[in-house]
Amino acid sequence: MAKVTIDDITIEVPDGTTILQAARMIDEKYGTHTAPPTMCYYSKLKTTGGYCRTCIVSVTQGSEKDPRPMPKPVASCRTNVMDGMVVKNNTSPELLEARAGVVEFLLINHPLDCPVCDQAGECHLQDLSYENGDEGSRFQFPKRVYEPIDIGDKVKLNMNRCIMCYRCVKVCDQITDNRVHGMLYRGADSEISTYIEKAIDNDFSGNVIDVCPVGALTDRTFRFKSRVWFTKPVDAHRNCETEGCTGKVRLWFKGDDVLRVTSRKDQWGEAESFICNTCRFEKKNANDWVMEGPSKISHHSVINQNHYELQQIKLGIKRQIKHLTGVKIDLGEGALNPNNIQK
Amino acid sequence: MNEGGEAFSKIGVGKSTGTKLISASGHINKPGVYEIELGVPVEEFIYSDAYCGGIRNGKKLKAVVAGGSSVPILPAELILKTAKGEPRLMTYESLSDGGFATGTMLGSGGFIVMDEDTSIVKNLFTFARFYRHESCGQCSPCREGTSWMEMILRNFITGKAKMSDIDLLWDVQSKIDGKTICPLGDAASWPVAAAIRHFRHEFEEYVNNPQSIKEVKHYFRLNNLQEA
Repeated sequence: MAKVTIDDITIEVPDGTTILQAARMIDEKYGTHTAPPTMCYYSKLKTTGGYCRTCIVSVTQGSEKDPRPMPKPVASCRTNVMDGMVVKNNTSPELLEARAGVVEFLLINHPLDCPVCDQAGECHLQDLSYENGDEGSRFQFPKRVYEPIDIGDKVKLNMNRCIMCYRCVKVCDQITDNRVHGMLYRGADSEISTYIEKAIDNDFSGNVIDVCPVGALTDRTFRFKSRVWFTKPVDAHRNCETEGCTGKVRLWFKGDDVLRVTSRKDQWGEAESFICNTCRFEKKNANDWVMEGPSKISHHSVINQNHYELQQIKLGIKRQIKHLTGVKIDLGEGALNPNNIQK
Repeated sequence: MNEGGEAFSKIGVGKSTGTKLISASGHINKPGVYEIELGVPVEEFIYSDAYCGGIRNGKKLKAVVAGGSSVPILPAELILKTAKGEPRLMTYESLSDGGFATGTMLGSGGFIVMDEDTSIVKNLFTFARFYRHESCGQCSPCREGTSWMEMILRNFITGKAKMSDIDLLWDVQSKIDGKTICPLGDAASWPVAAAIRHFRHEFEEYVNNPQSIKEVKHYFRLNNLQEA
């Protein structure tokens, strides 16, 4: 067991836990918002994480034995905790500044076409930039532009919106039989694509839509049907015969019609289990499903109308005030301790 | 090496022992790869006939990149003498004396000498192009940041830059430095930081007087750039 302190909250976790997992444990236990945002890490997939750098935290004390601080911010999704480690996330203004820099980098080549993007409303990049980003852009050059392409008859790929998190690549690697797409080229020119634009064609290919944190991979059967916040999520299940599919899904209703079927997302915006393409694309009739009741929606995304968690908004506003006026807001010792937080 | 490790470690000064291969290039009379005993003064290394043999065409020394393109560039007065006034030696400690504010690093030993005619901004653009091409694209700050820095520097040498771009460039590099998985992000940001730190007036000159750019000789032709 290792004792780790994140933003003044101490928790004991098993050895080999990452800082990110420890922070999520704290949040689940105390209902706080210590966990750093993630764009590429996905707990259900192996070897994800470490790419996007939004989950960076500063380690002010390495461990009990070696109390030196780490010289650079570390990626919390890839760094294991040590006994006696002290981590600062939201309590370090320098770190929030650094994270705002990462958000800016992610956004400079993002088209910001949210008004016409199907992902708007449940987009992790929207949440991220709203909570952690600065106002406005300083990028005054042409952005990268690609033509949207169809990969298969069910999935649309819009590379302009991609932030290169590699999640979909890992899905095809690990959930489906064979890897059919990946990253082409390198550096600022890299792009996700199938080899020679071949179609992705297997039973679990639809999961790339669920894991995509932005609108780069969208459901062609749901395309432009409705904004997500006008649809009502309901948990349902069916007895699915496809091997590996749990049949536990979330149906998105508009009136009596099922507009789309997705996997269920947990409070971190990650799919609880992966579902097959038959469930996702072909069973769009309420009679196919056994209803379980309305879904609980976490703080992520605007579909949780007016319940956007207070603490994150406070943090975002504090950052904005500092950015606009230069006034430094006190985020010092104990500022985010669950006992001091007024809800 | 034939004489054993002990004899090898007797060569050199302080913690920097043994010899090192230095690849000297730039505006010097005798570019090439030299094996030096660590502890040779930088001044001797540049001007002695045994090594670089002085600056080409008898020009004055302007700046030196002491350890490969990624380390901070230093102006002549800081490379020959440290900020404290001691002569700088070709050792790891002496070159990094003063931290990044007034020092640099021995690094890989890629020693680039620049004479008084050199444009630091154009040279920096060449470095930035290299790092943009070299970035693998895995993590965000380096993938987006290196290409952004290259675009800003391209504005400088095509005469389109604004004064605020200098601060923007500084801010972009500071947000790459230390945030990436591998040290390539750091390596891309250090030369930019050092060039602004020591040669800010040159950036300002480029903004105020875009015509002056054309008079600077450089390996890279401006015509090619506008097409690219």
